[in-house]
Amino acid sequence: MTHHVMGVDGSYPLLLVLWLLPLAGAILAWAFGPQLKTAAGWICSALVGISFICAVAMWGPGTQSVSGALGAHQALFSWLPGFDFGLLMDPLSLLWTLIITGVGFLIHLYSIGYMDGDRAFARFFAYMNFFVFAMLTLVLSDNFVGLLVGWGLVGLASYFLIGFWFFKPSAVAAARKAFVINVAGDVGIMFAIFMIVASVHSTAFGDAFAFAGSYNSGWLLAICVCLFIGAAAKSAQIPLHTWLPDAMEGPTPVSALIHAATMVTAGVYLVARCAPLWSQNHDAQMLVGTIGALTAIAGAILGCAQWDIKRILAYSTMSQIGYMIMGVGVGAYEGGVAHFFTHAFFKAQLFLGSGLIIHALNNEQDVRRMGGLMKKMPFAFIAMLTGVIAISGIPFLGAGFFSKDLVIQGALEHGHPYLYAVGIITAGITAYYMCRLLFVTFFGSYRGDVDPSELGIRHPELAGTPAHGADQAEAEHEGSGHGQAHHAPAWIMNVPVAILIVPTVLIGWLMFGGDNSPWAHFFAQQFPHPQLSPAPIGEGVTGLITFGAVLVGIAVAWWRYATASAQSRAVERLRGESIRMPGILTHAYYFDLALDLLFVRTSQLFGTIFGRFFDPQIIDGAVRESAFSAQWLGTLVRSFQTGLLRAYALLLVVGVAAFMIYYAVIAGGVHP
Amino acid sequence: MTINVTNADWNAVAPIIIVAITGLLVLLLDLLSPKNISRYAAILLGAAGMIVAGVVASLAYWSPAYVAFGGAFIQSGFGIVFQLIILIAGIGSLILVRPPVQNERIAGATALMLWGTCGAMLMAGAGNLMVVFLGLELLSLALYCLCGLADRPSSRESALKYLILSSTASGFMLYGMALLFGASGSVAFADLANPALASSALLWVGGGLFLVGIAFKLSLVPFHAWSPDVYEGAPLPVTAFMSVATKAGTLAVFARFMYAALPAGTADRLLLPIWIVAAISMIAGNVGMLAQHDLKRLIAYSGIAQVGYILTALAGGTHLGLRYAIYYLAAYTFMNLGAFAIATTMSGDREEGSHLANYRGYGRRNPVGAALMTFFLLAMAGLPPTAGFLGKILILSSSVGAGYAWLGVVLIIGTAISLYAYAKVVRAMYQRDEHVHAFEGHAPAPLAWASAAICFVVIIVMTFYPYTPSNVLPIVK
Amino acid sequence: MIAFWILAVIMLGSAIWCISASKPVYSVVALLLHFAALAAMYLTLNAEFLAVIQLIVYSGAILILFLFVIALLSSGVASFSVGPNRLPRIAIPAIVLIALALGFFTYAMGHAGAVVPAAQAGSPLGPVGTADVFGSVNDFGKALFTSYLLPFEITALLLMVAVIGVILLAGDHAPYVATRKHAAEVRREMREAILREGRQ
Repeated sequence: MTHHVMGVDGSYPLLLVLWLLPLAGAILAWAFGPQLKTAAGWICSALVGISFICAVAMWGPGTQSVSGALGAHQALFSWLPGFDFGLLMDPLSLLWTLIITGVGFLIHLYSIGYMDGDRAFARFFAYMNFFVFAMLTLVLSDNFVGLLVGWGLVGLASYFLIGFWFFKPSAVAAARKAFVINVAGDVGIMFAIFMIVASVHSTAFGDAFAFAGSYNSGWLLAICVCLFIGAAAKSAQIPLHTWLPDAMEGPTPVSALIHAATMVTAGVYLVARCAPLWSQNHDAQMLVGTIGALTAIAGAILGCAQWDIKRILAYSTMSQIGYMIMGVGVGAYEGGVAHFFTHAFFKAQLFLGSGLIIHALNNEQDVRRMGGLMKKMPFAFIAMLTGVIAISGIPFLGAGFFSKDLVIQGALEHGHPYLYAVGIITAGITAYYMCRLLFVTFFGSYRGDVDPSELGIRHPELAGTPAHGADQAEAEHEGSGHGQAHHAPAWIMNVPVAILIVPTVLIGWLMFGGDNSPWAHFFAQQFPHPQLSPAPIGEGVTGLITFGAVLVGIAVAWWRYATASAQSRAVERLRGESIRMPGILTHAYYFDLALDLLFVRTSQLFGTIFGRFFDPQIIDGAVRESAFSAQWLGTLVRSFQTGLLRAYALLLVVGVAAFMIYYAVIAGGVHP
Repeated sequence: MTINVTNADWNAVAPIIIVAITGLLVLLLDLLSPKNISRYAAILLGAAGMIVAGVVASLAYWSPAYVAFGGAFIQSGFGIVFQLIILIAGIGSLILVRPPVQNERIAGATALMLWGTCGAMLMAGAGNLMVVFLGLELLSLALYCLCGLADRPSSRESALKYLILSSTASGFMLYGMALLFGASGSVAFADLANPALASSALLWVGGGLFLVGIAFKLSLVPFHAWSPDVYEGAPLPVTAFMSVATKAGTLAVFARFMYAALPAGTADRLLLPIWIVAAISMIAGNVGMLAQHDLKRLIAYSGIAQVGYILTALAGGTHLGLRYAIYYLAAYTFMNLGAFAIATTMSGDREEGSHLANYRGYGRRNPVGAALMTFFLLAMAGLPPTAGFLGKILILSSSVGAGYAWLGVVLIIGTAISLYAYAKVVRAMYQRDEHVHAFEGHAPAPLAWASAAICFVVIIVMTFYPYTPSNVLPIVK
Repeated sequence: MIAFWILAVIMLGSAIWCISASKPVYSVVALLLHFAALAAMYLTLNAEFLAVIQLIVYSGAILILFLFVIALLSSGVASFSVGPNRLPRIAIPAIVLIALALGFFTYAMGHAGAVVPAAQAGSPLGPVGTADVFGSVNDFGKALFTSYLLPFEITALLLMVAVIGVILLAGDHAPYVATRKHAAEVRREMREAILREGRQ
């Protein structure tokens, strides 16, 4: 079998450098953390920055196209036939690499300020750099096994970082939950690899895709489903999404980098990478697109019911990834990937902005206890405002508009009108809850000194506020005793946010211009482009309809939270809303409960039943010991007495009988 | 008709003779030394004998196959690979022998283990049914005694259960052999491959009964009931030996029967029941693991499933399938021995290392041991980057290629179930649990640690330099 | 042919008696009968040597050993304690299945094809199935030490393993008689135990 290599094979030292630098940083910060102290943060940030520069320098090779081969391929080492390992940088992985290192660099910088004074400052950066390395492994690998290794490693890094404040029990629980669900996803990918190897005897993307047309369709669907289980777990798609909101227990920069900009979009990457597989199977596309749309709307609705600023953002992340998955699922790969690209900026922006607020308010995360912050924190307001504009999809003012439009229109073009409708409705809901976040946080007057119960905060821990852990976290955080610094964010935290504002507002213009946009050119050779009949609704009209939905959302939010009357009675209103919030929303559709019933309880029950009836153990020890003196013959007799031996022998003979019937029937038949 | 026995014939069984004589030497040394022979002396002598045997065996690996004793024993690449795996199992479990087997019995236990190894090695090279049976009985007889060696009632019980059930199965197998003999008029495997036999009812019925014996020794469901109980009762090193050597020897016999002794065109129908029970075993074995609280029982159920995986590789009877089966068997050997080695380091007189409850919080008490154990368990589960993962991938590709994709699907399902069971153990090790009674250390077990380390290294090497023996076919000249 | 059927009935009957006897001693006697019938069966097949060996080794030596052991352990006179004597629930379908299997088996055996002579298959071991070669001492010995040398040697090892294994297992638990006085004590205890059993 000929071996299909994707990309132009060659030697690309820069690629190796940009891949390994973060690993070096992780090892450095891990090994010499105590000596380096704060320098660890600067070193790690610088290494990611250099990685970014290398990635930019790889632009040429990464986008080159020589006789059908797209991108750059660097072979690493060969194993068995079909198990060659190497790095591949084509436009798709280049895009991810740029985001991972670029946005990663900014978030690293921000973390220097945010984590300042934390006892495990160096360790934090070691984990962050390790994460960047793992994520680069994931997107740069040229085969499924490398991808799976990266996939597992980012899960591990995420586990460490969610549980970074391990003295908070909630953080440990959240980390474990995230890990378990992600491992389930890893297993899905592993099975997909099994099936791919069984079909094409290779794990390389090139081989797997070159024969994409020759798979049995049921087998291909199974491969796609297994891959998607991995993608859904990593990208928090229904029903494997429950870990993401809990993951907000980690430090805010972690939420920004891992649980918003990069790691959670690995599922989008996987589906986009395997576009040749998905394009062959309509059922798989339908499944992925539907799950994406469901997640988008379900996440958006849950976003309306949250009070914790980070959980609101978490649900919005889930919802936005739903968009991306819907995009790549239906076949609108450019759209899905574009939304990843813009989302990485504006969601990082939103998280870092919210981090500014949380940091300034001594780890307060409940928006009900904020309010009126516009004047106190104008910079944070601008940061959040641009982010909200972008995510809501207000035309031309923010990046999200362009990419979201590509996804929604893409769904229609690929023949999924229902998903199209869901996309538009979700856009409206998104605008509502993001504006709600903005208005409640920044408008009106400060409510931090109001008694929590008056705001309807009954059970801080149930409502999702890490109130009980926060104090401790704070104590830990303040370790070296420069508390004042927190209330005036250092420039180091503001600069990354300021830099992010630019792409958040402007980057979407790359996608403007339909088939002639720079975006379409960039990916022209990356994805399959089937011939599509023109959509019944044009792109401009779709933009208008979406904008209409967005305006409705903003208007409702304005009416509920930002009018003068609403603001004057903000405390009562918030209290009323908290109390009247339907249980189904506060419990996130009872997914956790369902998962518990479905998997945890049943497996326990299963174990009990099995243990009791199907697996009789060796004789009870007590009986044995009491009559021990009779020794050999005694043991002999007693092992008969249990009946077990007879039962075993009977089972044996039954097996023999079954065998015999089969063989005797055949033997009777072969007689000439 | 008679045959001439020459030196070449004895050379072919030289490794086996070396091991057998080492057993005698250990006993003699024990007899002649003023006090009882020390544990280390017995073990090291036994291990040295097996290493020498291994070297002698591997010297002949590349030389052409030699049919010794008129077909009773065949020295070929195939048999030698299996013999080496069995020797590794013998060494790996012999060095785990610790106080549970009392010091006065150490020489006897060592000798029995060596002779059991002889039996399994004979099975690996057997060219006719008679040697198969004698090898099997030699192995089994040694194991019955070894199972009963620990001073625990459960140990005796396990020996007895094994004796009775195994004899029953041997009875069926012997009857099958008699019928096969009746069909072909010869006990040699080579004579069974006669196409004229395809229409002989004796071949089918005899083959069926023969396969029952094989299935019992491989502990395939529904012939598996003995293995969890016997494994649980036997002393740790014996369980380690049993879990590998019996399976390796029996698989060698099965592979020889399947590849070399079947008349053309009969394989698919004759072996179908084996594939079916292999499929059932992959599911039932992994499900059985879920409820276990004892490492040895867990390994027993795991072994039931793992044999199913190996049989999946053999299904279809391809050359690659056999090579992959051997690769997986070797990987399985090291995983098992590694896990048992770690269990031994935790064990004292009461074999604490076999109770899964004692692994709670092990990750804190002994991070290295826990990491190794995790590695071995994950290798059994088949997670990358371990030889278990690679082995499963290879098996899958060969089974699909050979037209037994359905077995591959069952393998995947079984693997999914097993992950949960292995993960339970791993999770217990890393649980932050305050209530664990601190589990005091025992006498250091340098040999067991060395064994675990070697297993770890070998699995890693096997993963990255996967060598699947190419010199295994033809099995019978 | 008549001899075959008679012997077959005796053998089956004694085998069933052996496993269903209420006391170990009866079982041994049943086994003796079984072995004797088996020896007679060998005779009808012209395997005189085997028949003699069967009688000397099995009936003569091994069964006597059994009796010694039973007598020494003093439980030969006591009944087996059989425990709760009820069939497991799956027994009935299992028995049906087994009966079915036996039926099929008999049918298949009844239609068994002709034996393919080994000479045709070209085995170096030759046609061992021929009756006059099979039974006579001369040929038996020749075959044993040439064609079947390896199995013969393995058997030797097998027996040694059995002996050493038993010694090893029994070693610590057999009354270890270090002194004469101690030996007398052990004997007395055993005698008393036997008497006690007899009274019950």
